[in-house]
Amino acid sequence: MAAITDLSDLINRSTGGANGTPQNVFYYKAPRVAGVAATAPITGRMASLWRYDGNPSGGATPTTVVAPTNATQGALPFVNAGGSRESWMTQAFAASNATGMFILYDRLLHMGGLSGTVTTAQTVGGTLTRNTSGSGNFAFLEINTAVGTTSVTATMNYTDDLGNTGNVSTGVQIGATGFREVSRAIMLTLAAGDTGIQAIDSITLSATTGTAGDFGVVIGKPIAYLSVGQSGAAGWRDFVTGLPSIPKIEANSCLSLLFVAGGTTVPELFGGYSIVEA
Amino acid sequence: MAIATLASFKNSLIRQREFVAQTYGSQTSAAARFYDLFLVAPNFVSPSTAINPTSATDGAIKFTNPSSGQLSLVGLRASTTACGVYIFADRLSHQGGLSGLVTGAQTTNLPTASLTRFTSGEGVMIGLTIYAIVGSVATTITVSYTNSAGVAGRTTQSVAFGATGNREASRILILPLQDGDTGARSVESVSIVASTGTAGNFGVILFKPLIAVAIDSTDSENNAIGFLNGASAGGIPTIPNDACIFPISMNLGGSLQSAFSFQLTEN
Repeated sequence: MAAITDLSDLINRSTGGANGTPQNVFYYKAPRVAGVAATAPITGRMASLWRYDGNPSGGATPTTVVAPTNATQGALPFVNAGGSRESWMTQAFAASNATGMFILYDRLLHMGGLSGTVTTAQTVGGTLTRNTSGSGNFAFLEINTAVGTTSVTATMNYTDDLGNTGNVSTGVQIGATGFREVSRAIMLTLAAGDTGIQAIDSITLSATTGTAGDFGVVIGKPIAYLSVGQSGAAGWRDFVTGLPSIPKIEANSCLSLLFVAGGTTVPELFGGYSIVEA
Repeated sequence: MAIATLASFKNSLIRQREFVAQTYGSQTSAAARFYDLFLVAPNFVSPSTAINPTSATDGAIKFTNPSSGQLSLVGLRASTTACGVYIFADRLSHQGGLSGLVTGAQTTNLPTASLTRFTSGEGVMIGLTIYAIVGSVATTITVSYTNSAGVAGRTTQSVAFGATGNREASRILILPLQDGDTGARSVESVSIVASTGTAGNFGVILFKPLIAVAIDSTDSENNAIGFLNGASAGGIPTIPNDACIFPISMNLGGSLQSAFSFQLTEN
């Protein structure tokens, strides 16, 4: 591991010197899932683009709890750093037909198979393999098959970033229009005083939504926020000249996207990012 | 070899090896759609048989291969009537002559020519460029391709084809890959589910994006873009020898006419 010492060093590495091994990655996401038009987003709410078709292809519906990696189907591609070097992101870019905020994040842990009709604690478990301290990690519910039309509350029992177990998040809505459809991402809110998540023990619904459906839970760590202000325009982050500066991309990171919709247009997305080793 | 220092980088901006300019003719564009500007480049001719276009192909941005070392793109200046996003890609393979009337697998002028650059196919995207307008009936389209692992018989996910927004000349439809794939080496056939009502002319292109830039002003003086002033992705890209560089635009809509200048340095 070595620091990027200065601008000269960064330019050198970005053009292949000093084992910089630059990776300039581009990706495309179609507004479809498995060849069918994706669910329209709701203004101001989140959608998961994990399963969106594209190049690379969309991800599979999660089942048992795992820590996905850059080798998992649906992960945006990058190659782990060689030797004892680390990977650093210098640029991120996203252009879309849909206005809103694209959040590039490392998908640290995911699972599916939870039911919208079970009112006892549904086990999550699993172990983080990246950002294991939990600091800054977020969690969200991801709808894989529509749950029911009854509005209920979901909470999670989790371990915070100080290692304290048995914390219970404040309740968030799941079920009913806007909170039940495929690809919805429902962010879970932490208990007072907490700033991260090491593990999730279980998810509990306050009542049945009326339909089992299929939903899961994801733990992630944000990397870049890319705001697209106009349809047909781009949002970008230059981590060299702007803040925050040059985030580290941990080995095996499973890069994926969330979308905070500025309207109801299903996003079609062309994006890219640049990574160097140091 | 690398550009080793900031001073070398600045020097390459001031005394670049080659300053290449290219203009693209006028057309009307709809907002937030992808356009293949190869079609409005000077002397453009619609492709027919499958070939590997190069920097010498009409429509490509012209440059001379380095005598040694490699070429890097260190800066770009844009003048355009349509603000938005411009993706500069290497057009690796293309063909034409496909019909919007024929259902089932079409193999006219296919398979695509074997890649001569980015030959593994990793990160290579599949596009369908419409050279002459197809019909007004909405249908869907897929292609059969060989992925970047060399596995043949892969099928893209279907996308909309035909009808307003997906039929006009210059449109490029980017195709999503089959589950688990991350690139394409070749395309063997194209299949539309139903006739669009007009034959038109469309073709397959295989392309590898090199850099993408955000243009938020029609004043070229405000559109000097480089590695150290943001608004782009692609780092300081290496330009492969013979690369057929062309722009794809997704913009805010309206009249689209543009000119680009590229600062290339040999390192």
